[in-house]
Amino acid sequence: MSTLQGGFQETAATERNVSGGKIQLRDVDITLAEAELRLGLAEIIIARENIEKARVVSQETLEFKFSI
Amino acid sequence: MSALRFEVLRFSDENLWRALSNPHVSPAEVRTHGRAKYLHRYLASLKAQSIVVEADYTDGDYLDDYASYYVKCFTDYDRRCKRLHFFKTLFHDDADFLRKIHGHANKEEESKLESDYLGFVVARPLPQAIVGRTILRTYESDNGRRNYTCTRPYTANLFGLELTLPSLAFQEQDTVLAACATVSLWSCFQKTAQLFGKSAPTPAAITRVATQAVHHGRPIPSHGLMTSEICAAIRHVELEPEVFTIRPSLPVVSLIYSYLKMGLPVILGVEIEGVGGHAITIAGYSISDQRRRPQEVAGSSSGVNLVGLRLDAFFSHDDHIGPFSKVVIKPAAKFGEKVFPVCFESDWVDQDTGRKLPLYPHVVIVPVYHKIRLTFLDVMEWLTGLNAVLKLVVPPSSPMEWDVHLMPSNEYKKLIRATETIRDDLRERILLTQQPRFIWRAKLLVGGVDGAELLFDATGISRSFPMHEIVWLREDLAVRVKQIVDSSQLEPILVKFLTRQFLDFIKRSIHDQFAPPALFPGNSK
Repeated sequence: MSTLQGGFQETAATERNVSGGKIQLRDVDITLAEAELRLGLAEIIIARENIEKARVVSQETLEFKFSI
Repeated sequence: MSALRFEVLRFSDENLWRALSNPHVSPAEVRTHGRAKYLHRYLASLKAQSIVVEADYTDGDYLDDYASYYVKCFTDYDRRCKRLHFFKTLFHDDADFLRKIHGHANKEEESKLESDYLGFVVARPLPQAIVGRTILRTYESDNGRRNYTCTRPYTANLFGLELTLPSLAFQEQDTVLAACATVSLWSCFQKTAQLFGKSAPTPAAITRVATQAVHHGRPIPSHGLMTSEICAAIRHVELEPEVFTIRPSLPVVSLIYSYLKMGLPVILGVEIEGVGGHAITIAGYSISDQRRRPQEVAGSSSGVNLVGLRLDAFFSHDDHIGPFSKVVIKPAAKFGEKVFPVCFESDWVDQDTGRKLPLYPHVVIVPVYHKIRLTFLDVMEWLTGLNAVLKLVVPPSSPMEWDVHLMPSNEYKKLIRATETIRDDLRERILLTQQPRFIWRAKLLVGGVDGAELLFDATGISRSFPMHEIVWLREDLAVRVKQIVDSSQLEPILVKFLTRQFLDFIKRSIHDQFAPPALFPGNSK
């Protein structure tokens, strides 16, 4: 039984859950190396770069004409 | 036609063509008119039974068009329109209708008349653009699948009888004072006027202000607007244009949804194969319980699964088709050298072959209140790191989904008040906390179950720390996340993914929501 800081118990927490369904959770006792692998740093860097690119409104967009 | 200048007709295609006709367009010509045909199909689906034709109707929007252009033409155009009202009630004759107008109907009959009212179409006395301001009821929600979020109440006064219905005004372009972009803006402003208390100018006024600064060539007759001109028109009504260039990696469906959910109409600029650039107003969406596609971007996904994966269509005001017309979402596509994250299909067809023409998205434009400074992309930037960290505690067998949307904080509080399953202490905490006027809400579902909600200050700026609150809806999830964020071994990598500030914020949110109450709160001093 895992506990939150301050001694609040997970079983009690389960009774107070706001949704009826169950969720599966992973064992979080992992090493730094495992975490790095699961996190996929390269994937995140690409995702963040894509967000940065998406912030730029291209000149082509500004001049795009809607004429139908 | 009676002396009272109205006519009651049974709803049929022939009667609709006749009611929409005018001295410049015969009923036979109306029969071939695309928007008229769409309206017939749409109203038949809504089970229309009667048409009440109100003659000599003065329409404010048409009157402005008339004063700006038509009155100065050599050809004689009428300054007044007809207004066609549609009912699910079958009126047997003029007398039957008059009895209800005279107030001889009982309360039950009057209430039924209002619920049976399907809306109206202003029939303009023009040669081509006969469909003027159109306010029609939407389809039923179909158990929550159809969501027409951008409607507002409209009241039609029919000979003293007030009939109110939710809708969003539509009209077709006349190609003189307005092309597609102008009409699209006009529909948008109908809703933003209600949301933010701003003006809703007429099509002629929109074309005038949009083309004041950079337009090359004469603005009237209108040959369309550029994105920059659309932005100018939005600024003129004291709103700010959020513009997004469509790129292969942009989750465009979730982006549009995030604004629609609050009721903000979105202008979608598309290129139609072999036709050209076209602007439509997105006014609603169709959502399913199941994912409709594996991803909503072209190429590799960011790994953040968004609610857009469950959307199968949008509902749009396309002035070439009609009000609330369905725009089906299709997978990523390539057109020429360009790759699009998704493409769309509506009633646009190749006239020769009848083949459906794809609509390739080029730009999304959202008119927002000036204090809404944070965008969908800003929220996504924060979620990208957190989503990766959550993968440490949530296995692939429990798929995560983020429902990201803008909303007024007062609406959020209303929602929290009405949510029975939320813990009392958490509800109280949210209700009693001061919130910014607008928030971005990112709701996390884990395996279909509510997991947590992140609230961002939408009036903040992206380079600051706009996170306002994390609401942990599952304590078991919070327990696991706490074990991760408290790990000194993992701290360096967590800081890299989340930033120090975000990491500390997560720790604090869990502590604040789950720390035990003081033993003797009354003796705290």
